[in-house]
Amino acid sequence: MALYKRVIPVLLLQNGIIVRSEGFCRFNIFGNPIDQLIRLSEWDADELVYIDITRQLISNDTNIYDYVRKEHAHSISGGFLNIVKEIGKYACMPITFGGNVRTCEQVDLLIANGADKVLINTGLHLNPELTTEVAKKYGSQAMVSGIDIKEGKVCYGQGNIFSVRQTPNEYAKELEARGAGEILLNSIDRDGKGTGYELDLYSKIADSVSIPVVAMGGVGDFRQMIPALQSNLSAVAAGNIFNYTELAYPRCKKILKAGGCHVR
Amino acid sequence: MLVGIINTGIGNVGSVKAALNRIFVEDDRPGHSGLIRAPWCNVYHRDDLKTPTHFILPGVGAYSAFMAALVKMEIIDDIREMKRPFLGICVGMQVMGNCGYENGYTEGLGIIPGKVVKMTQKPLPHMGWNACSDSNTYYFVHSYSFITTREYTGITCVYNGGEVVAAVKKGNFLGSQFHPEKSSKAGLKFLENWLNGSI
Repeated sequence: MALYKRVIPVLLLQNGIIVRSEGFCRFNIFGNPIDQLIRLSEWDADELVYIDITRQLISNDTNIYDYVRKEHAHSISGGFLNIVKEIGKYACMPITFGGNVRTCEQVDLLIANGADKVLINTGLHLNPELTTEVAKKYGSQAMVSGIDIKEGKVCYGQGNIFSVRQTPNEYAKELEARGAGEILLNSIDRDGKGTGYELDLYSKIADSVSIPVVAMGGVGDFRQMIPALQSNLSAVAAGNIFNYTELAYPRCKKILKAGGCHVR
Repeated sequence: MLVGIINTGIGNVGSVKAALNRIFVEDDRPGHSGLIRAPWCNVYHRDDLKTPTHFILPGVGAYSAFMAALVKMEIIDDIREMKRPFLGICVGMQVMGNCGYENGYTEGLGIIPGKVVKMTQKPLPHMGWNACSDSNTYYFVHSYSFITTREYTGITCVYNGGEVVAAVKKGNFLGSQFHPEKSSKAGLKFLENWLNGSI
């Protein structure tokens, strides 16, 4: 008996619709967030992560989240928080929300509307104190820090045009020291490529901290998750692959168990 | 039946409500029969403690902050003297002990003998699904755990070789370290069993 390693589907929300992504720049539409959620709930997913990758416009137009077609069975309107609230109603497993989070007020709203954990990436680069603020208020388990890596460098910002001087290991250590409870690693190079995780890089980062580290980015075949789960990583996450095939999540669990992984 | 959800402002009451909405119970109102979704109401104030037949105290975050919020609500004595079924979740369970050592010493409610200390395993928090001694798998997320005697320990689980108390019970008081409202079907069954008195 021991803690199971988690397998976490990641859903990218752009203008209120689930999309797939490649290299953080090519996006194709998948569909309605609630339909996806109902399917993932039926498959009893361990956890879910929703990331809002909508490009923020200058205007405060909440209609940019209403691109879901109105004839869908579950049509939500009224902004991102309404999507969060709807998801909170149906989800019976922990949900993490992230994307465009810059202030503690936004975190307050997300958590009040049903998010269990909040994922912040660029927001922490712009305001490192935010990690500590969220951790103090909601506990570090609610503070998931996202680290996006391109060519070995930590990148952030819309379009990932900024990079930091610290190595990923150093940055991860800093996040832990500030109070992050979990780290979600993503490789911009591998995103959408299907060639598997950058396991050496991820493993070294997990070695340098004592908080859970989750791998994401590049899964094209579920078997690629096996070495990740057998390493020191606490969980594996994937976006695109769970949306493409029939019964993707249950098949994934079956393959991982057959490969000797300790998953639920 | 009416489940009073104690709203400290630090707790995922929304998830608890959503979970209760998924549980069906016998409609025991006079003149009614059949099944209805588990009825719940908010408890913000002492007066709200009068009508509910059951209570849930959901909690996340730090022990000290949570106790402070409870003190502010002025319901501590009422909780201590509660005779109706009372379920504390996560920090809600931890404060039922004598004291907690998160960010310094904080006195607890003293309902179930025990103390809350930081776990020694790595990595922390203990986060994810863990199989418990009652043959069910629940979702845990915590870095501090409840230390108590066998007498009050309901179920346990194991994390990196160390035993972790998953649920405690003393009379009408039940506490779960895990989050039943986030533990899918097993969690709903746990809540259902508590509501109909089989736990």
